[in-house]
Formats: sequence, C-alpha cells, structure tokens
Amino acid sequence: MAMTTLRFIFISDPEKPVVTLKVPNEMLFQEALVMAAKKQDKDAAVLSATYPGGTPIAGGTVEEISDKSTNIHVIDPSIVG
Amino acid sequence: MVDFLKREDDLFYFLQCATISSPRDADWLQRVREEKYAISRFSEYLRFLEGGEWFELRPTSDRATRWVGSVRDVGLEFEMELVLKDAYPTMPPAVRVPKLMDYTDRKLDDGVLGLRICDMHMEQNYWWDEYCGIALYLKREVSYWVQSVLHDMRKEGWLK
Repeated sequence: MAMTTLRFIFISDPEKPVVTLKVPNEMLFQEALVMAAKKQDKDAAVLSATYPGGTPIAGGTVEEISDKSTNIHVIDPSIVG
Repeated sequence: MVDFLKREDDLFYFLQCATISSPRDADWLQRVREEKYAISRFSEYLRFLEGGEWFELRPTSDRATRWVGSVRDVGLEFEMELVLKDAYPTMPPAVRVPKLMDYTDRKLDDGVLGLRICDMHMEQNYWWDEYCGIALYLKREVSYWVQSVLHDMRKEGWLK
C-alpha cells in the first residue's frame, strides 16, 4: 500500500508544534487531520487547514492533497484574532 | 556582515523586503518595488504549487499607500482594502474585508478604514518586523483571518 508522510504544522499555536504522520494515499485528508489533531489534544472539527501559502484545502484524499504539498498548516480559529 | 533576516521556509520569510522605508521617505518607491516583487513571487508560488492564487491585490496609485483587491475561498470572493500608513513598516498594514466585517468580532477600530481585521492574536508570537511586507502579511495574517471567519460562518450555518 502506497504511503505518504504529511507534516501538520499548528501554525497558530505559540510553539508551532509539528505532527508528522505516515498515512495511506487512499485515506481521506480529513481523517489524517483528525489523527493529527488528536495528537495535539485538539478537536479537528474546530480546526481549519491550508496549504503553506494559505490556499484553503477543500478536501479529497491524502494523495490528492500531497500532490500540491505535504506540509499542511493547521489553524485554530479559537486562537486567531 | 550580520544578516538580520529570519529564515524559516514554512513561514515564508523569503517574501521579506530589504529596504526599510516609510511612505514619507525619499526612498519609499524602492520599497514599493520590493513589495510588488514579493507579491509577484508569492502569486507565482501559489499559481505553480497550490493551483491558484487566493488573493488579488493592486495599488491605487504610484505611491502605493492604498491597495484594493479581493480574497477567495472555495467558490467565494470578497473585496479587500489595504492601507499603508506613515508608520509603515514599523507598524504592519491595515486590512479590511468589508463584507466579512459584520460577521465577526475579530476586528479593531481603525482611523482610516473604520474597521480593520484584528491581527493581534493571529500568531501568539509577535513576528512582524520592518523587513516584513504586504506579501508576508497576507500569508501570515489575512489568510488565517479569512479562514477563521469563514470557518465560524459555516459552523453557524451562515454559509453553505
């Protein structure tokens, strides 16, 4: 099974923690985000994810997302502004 | 030679400007050229690596102290205004996304724009310095703000 390593950077947190996950290409991106959020004791439902340049991630599989970037910026709106 | 520029690829420090100059300074137009260059590099990055630009921005005059454009999310587009005051770049730009201001508390009073997006808590570490420019501000403040406001609006059922 083909795997991809995604790097979730919790960019709005003061220390900008990074969660690195190796996940199957066919996995839905949202599932990977839930796994990364759990590792940071956060609720994925309140988080928002973008590519590093700020482009919103609409959804899709890990393979589709990683075609553009394997670095994912995670924003916690409860911290922002 | 001491290099003061910060480097951290994920945070896009490659978009920094080199000239520290304010709108009333003699070499302001050099700073404007660097701002435009950084914005074009950021646009290029987004076009080639992320499938398209989530913003569009252009100055309204040669002095480039006021800019207008738009921000985009999936299927949505909102007008944006940006102002560089005399204290720029010591102080960051002021930005307003008029149609979204009524849907959020994440805003501050502003003498020029009336209301502007609140950038005081986007990142808890204060990252702005005089080498940072419009492109970096769009990336590290405006994109988060738009994402956060739209996220809240969808959660409330105000957006489909």
